[in-house]
Amino acid sequence: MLLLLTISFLCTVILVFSYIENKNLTAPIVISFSINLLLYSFLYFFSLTFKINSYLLIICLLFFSGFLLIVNRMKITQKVNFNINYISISSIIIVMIIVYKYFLRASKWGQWDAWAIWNLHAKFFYYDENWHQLFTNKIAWSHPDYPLFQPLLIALIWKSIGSINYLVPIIFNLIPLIGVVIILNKSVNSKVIGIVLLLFIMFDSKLIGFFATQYADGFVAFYYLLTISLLVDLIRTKFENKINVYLLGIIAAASIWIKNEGMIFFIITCTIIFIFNDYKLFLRFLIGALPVLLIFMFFKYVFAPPNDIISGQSTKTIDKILDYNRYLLILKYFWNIVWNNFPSIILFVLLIIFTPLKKRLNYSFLVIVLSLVVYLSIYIITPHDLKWHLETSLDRLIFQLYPSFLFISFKLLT
Amino acid sequence: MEFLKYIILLILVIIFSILLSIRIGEIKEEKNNITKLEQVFFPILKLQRKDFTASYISNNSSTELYYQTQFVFSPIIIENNTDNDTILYLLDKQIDNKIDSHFFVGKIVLKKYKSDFFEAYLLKKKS
Repeated sequence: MLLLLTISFLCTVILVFSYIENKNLTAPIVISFSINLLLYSFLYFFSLTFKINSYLLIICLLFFSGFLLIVNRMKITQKVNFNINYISISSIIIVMIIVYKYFLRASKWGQWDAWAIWNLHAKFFYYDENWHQLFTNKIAWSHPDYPLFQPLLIALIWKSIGSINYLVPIIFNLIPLIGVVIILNKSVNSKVIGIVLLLFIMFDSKLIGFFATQYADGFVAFYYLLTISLLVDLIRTKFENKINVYLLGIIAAASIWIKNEGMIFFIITCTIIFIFNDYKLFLRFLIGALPVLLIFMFFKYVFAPPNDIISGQSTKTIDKILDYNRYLLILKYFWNIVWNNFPSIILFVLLIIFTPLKKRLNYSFLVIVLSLVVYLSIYIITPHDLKWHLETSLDRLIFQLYPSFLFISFKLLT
Repeated sequence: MEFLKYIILLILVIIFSILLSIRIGEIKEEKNNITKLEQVFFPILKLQRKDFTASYISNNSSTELYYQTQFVFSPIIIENNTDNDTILYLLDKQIDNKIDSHFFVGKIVLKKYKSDFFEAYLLKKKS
């Protein structure tokens, strides 16, 4: 069954790839791969919700994509150049070291949130008849309101191999790391600078460690980066390819299906695109995002219990907003985490400020900055103990935006 | 020269595969609380229907241990109370603390399993 899933997935990846108009985009195959991950998580969600055999859906998808590929007489026009030179050998060595470092940090069932939330949810979705037991208040501590992208895909792979195996979440969470490596490497024109960038990731053990936790934040970081890279490409080409605007809508909306924070990022991306572009372009973006939004709303309305931060609001919220000590504490934690875990952010900000840049900052950078501001603002009104909340989540929120920040910084500085 | 590059690449891939296999082997052998719980709960897991809810009590009051037990049992729901008719009693051998013996009054032991680290009891309230 794993073979069937793999063949079907490859067919749909090639199909979506063939529809991406501008092959000069940053890593179009990565975009196609990401859209298909989303598609297969929806497929499994429908299979569970409407009690349709998941293999039947996969076979249908395989025939449908195969049919479209034959009808369109798709030709892979891009010649695969596999010239072995010392730069490509160096790149391969560095990527191998990154993967090995990832495995060194990986553990059976991952860190706390991995087994208490993501892999736990995946175990529920493995069982056709009992998956809805997840959405009960009896295990509210496992946040059953969290979106389903990662648990559904892990459960689908477990199903295809016929058992629950700890290696699946480990290998699955390698995908966003590889995706981030490819996109960042492709973001610079020079191969030598590309190597420098790979070395930068290789030596950033904390970045690799975040992916190895098996938290969904790795996928959030990856989809944010993909959105930003696509947005940067579209701004550069003045949005000439209409299909890519729809793709941007899908990719930006995908983050809401991964984690609740994705809603903040999506709303900010929407607002920025609306302000800086005409309404037709904005409509195309929204149409692309619509299927994801509808499925997400269906999940939230039908299955998900209320979110702890939203349901925890009371009249005390106003007091919290007026308490300046909370702002100081948040800023203190923010600085400490950046200084200890992401010192390169300080370096890049200084470089951007003090280097005479040939390129100008565009509004894609605003998406990252505004997302960070809103993330920090949520802490002001959190119903949880502020110190505990900051200690357990702020580093992950910064990590989500970190690869996108690196992408923009390298684009500007090279 | 070109041939030499392919040989270098091939050697690298082989070394990488060996290192990765060794690391995956290490992960397989890794012992953490979840693997220890899986070991002691395995026979009980095989007995139970999946649409079933049980209570949980342990001499170790750690929330982490309860969450890990829920992870091992899912999709069976394990509640951290004694309200249900079926109760899982987990004895952590590394902790001296014992449950008050009065707790066992009015309950029968359906199954009992032991490992080096834990003892697991499946209890049922007498009707």
